[in-house]
Amino acid sequence: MAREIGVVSGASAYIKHPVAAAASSLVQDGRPLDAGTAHIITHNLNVLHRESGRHLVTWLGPGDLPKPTDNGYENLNEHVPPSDQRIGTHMEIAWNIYANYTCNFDGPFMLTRGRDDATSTNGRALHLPPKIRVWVTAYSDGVASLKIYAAATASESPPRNGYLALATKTITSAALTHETLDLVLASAGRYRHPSAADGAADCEVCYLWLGFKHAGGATTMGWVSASAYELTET
Amino acid sequence: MGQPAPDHHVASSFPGVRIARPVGFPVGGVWVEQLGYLLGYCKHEVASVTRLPTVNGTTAIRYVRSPGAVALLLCVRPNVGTSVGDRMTVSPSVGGAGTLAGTSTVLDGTTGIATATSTDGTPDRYFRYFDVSGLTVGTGYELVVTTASHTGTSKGIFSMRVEEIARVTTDPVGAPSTDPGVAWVWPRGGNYLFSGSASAASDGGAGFERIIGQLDDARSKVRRFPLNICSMDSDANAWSTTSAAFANPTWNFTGAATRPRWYTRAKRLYGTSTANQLTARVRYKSAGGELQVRIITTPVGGAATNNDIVCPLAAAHGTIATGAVTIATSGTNQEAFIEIEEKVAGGGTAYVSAISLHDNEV
Repeated sequence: MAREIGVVSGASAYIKHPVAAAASSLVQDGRPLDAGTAHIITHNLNVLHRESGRHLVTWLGPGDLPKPTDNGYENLNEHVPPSDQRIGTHMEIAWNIYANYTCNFDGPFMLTRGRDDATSTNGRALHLPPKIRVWVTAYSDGVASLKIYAAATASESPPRNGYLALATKTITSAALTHETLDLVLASAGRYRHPSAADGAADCEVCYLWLGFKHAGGATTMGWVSASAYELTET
Repeated sequence: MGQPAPDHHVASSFPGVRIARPVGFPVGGVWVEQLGYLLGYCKHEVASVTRLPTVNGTTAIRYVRSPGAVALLLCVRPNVGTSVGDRMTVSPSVGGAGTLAGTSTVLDGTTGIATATSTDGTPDRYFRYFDVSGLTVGTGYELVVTTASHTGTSKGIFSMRVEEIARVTTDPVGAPSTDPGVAWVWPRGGNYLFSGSASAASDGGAGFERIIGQLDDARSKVRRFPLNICSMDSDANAWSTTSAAFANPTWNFTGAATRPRWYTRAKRLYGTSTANQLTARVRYKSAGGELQVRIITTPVGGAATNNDIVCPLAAAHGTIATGAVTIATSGTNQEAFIEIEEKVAGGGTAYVSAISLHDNEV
């Protein structure tokens, strides 16, 4: 990364600096601070920032997904909205968590806004909401498809009522398949604004959802595990 | 809990940091901001566990306190049903050997969470905050949660989420031994290294010493949990194995496709040839023979590493074993995946109710 100095073994590395007792310190009172030490500290801080992306989720799935009636809408005493009344295909599933497993979710997650944008201005990088990478290990029956949705919402209201980010993949293999879905958040979340003291405490709240549309008639499709974590790269 | 990361200086220009020039105050100011972010606000998720068995019982989540963390959030969502909901008490027990100390550490309300009957498509959520300011930084603790049904329908917990809570402000001047960060005045103008008060000498010394000490804390004591999964402490609901050779255990799924895989982004501090260092903890019962849990870590596009955790004979659920685990940082995009295998000696059945991994950089 441009904000780090040196490349060691193919990647920029943290440089350990001795921590000494004050009496014998390598950095003593009253002495000028040299530019080399300043570079190392700045570099180390940037390495730690790059590696500060947070791991959000390790989920164990239910295994087989029973095929729900009306893609889960039956349990809401509703029907699947007609296609001309949907604002996206994600509305084809009900996103409720009754026993038919059309979705999984958790939150609220307080996300950092530490992702750099692709360009920087005036020697300073801008900061964007994070990119969230979701991995799902799932399987179909080898005949029909299992459509997987990942979504981030700003509240506990399910994605059929709106979302911050949405991604989808479809699998048809009967073997365990490992799919990645990236959620790139727009800056539309809620924030806790800076406090009166030094430390601003902004954060962005989101809820993470997995949704499943079971296209087959059999019950031999489902998911067994999922993970999600922040990416601080652009 | 998050906070916008403060501005960075770009190394190619490093405004204010030129060879043979004094280092200006704004450079130190950015260090203060970044340390405040890394230590004070960038708190990590401890666990997000969903779809526990739909029974009542006891389960546990691993927690390791990071510097300056004073509160721990537990968010519980009871299971909901298609017709009759459950009403139950969720009791976060925080006592016992190796567990969070004392039930009096609940910050709001009573220890037990009495839930309402759930009938909606989205489960209700219930929060408890624990005072963890007295826990030793870096020590592993168990957050034990027990559920008891009021209605007899025994639907248990849908999800549990545990997260460290950031403080709105930190006070490294007034409380240097407990609060992380660095005071703005320490890298002050005039281009001198400035020592803080003597009382600020903790954790890396005062003044500029403290900047270096806090930087090291941010490197080694702020921990991620790339894996924190749990079931229940019972024979019927823990993950079990009877295999004498390493094999995928019996997870509590339906269906035959049962080899879960969890992905993470390895923490790469020292280049691609140095692995991310972690500690594993296994919560188990193995009354018939020694259990071994193999945590297989594989960088994307690379070769697997087997990390075997030895779990001595133990007749009761809730026994803890720990061991070292590494995750290679050479994978594509630094990503890697984690899989679990187990074996048991002596022909008995071994049960594992929780497995966790957390950073342990030294």
